[in-house]
Amino acid sequence: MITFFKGLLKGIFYILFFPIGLLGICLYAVFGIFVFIYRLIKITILFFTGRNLKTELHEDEEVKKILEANKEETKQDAVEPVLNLYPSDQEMYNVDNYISPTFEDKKEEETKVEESDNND
Amino acid sequence: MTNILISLSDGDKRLIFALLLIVIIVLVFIGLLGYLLMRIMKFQAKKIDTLVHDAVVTKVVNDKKHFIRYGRNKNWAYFFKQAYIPMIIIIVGFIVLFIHNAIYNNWGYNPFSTYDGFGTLFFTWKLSGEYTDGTIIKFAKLVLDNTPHFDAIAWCGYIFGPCILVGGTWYLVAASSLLSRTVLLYKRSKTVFEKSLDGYHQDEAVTNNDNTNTNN
Repeated sequence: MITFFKGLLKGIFYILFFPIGLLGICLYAVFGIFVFIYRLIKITILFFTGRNLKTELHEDEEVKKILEANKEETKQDAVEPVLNLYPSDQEMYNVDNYISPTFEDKKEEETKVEESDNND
Repeated sequence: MTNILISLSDGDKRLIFALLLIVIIVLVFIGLLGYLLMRIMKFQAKKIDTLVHDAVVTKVVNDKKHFIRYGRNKNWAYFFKQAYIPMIIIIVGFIVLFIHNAIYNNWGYNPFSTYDGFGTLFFTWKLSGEYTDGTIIKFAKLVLDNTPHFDAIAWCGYIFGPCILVGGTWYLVAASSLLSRTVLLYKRSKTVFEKSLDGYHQDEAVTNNDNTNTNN
């Protein structure tokens, strides 16, 4: 019910301010015609002078250079190998004569650690 | 002091109730439509973020005035991209109208006329001199003026009318999009380069720096 009345109030508000809003948009549309003519002339001049339309602003050229430099840096980082100081069991498995610890070995280690703790 | 008594018939009461209901429904519908238009404009406005993002993030643009100038250029360039097709459609419509007027030497021709224009495709009514029988509210009687039909002589209206309607609506959408992007651009210019000292205590910052120095 509240949303219904909110909709009703919004409707009254929009009816009152709709002419003003529409006038604002129409005035901006007229301004847009001048913007359109200005852009048409500018693009025609850029086209006949051989400039690239995508980087017509000097800021766009600078942004393009920075982004290209960043891309090259990330490519170089990807090419250099990363040194792994802590190989996993799977990697050690590939090494010759590697014997992975069994369940008994691990249990022995745990009891040794407990005994040393009790002695302390 | 005179008392005015108004007596309403059952028909009048039903009519008033129906009118009130229609007014309420129309107001609610307009409210929803207005809400939808605002949401669409907010959605259109977000494009400005995409247009200026790279320049701001790479710090090529790093102050408010430069940001507004750069954003305005990008905004107008995008508006041109959106608006050139509807403008072409409108210009084609006016060229056809010019050719028609030149051929028939009739520069006062109305392309939306119901006799020899785009209006021949619609139902239209006109006011008669008679009124309905009501006690309080009387409506003027309407008479059907035109039924939809094709007329070869109205060929210019059949081209000009759709060109103006389609091109004009499309162009207005592009113009409203330009307006919403401009509003958001000015809002962003205030927040993007804003610096805040909320919660900053210079003494604490100095103390923290001393502690890190002693730890090192």
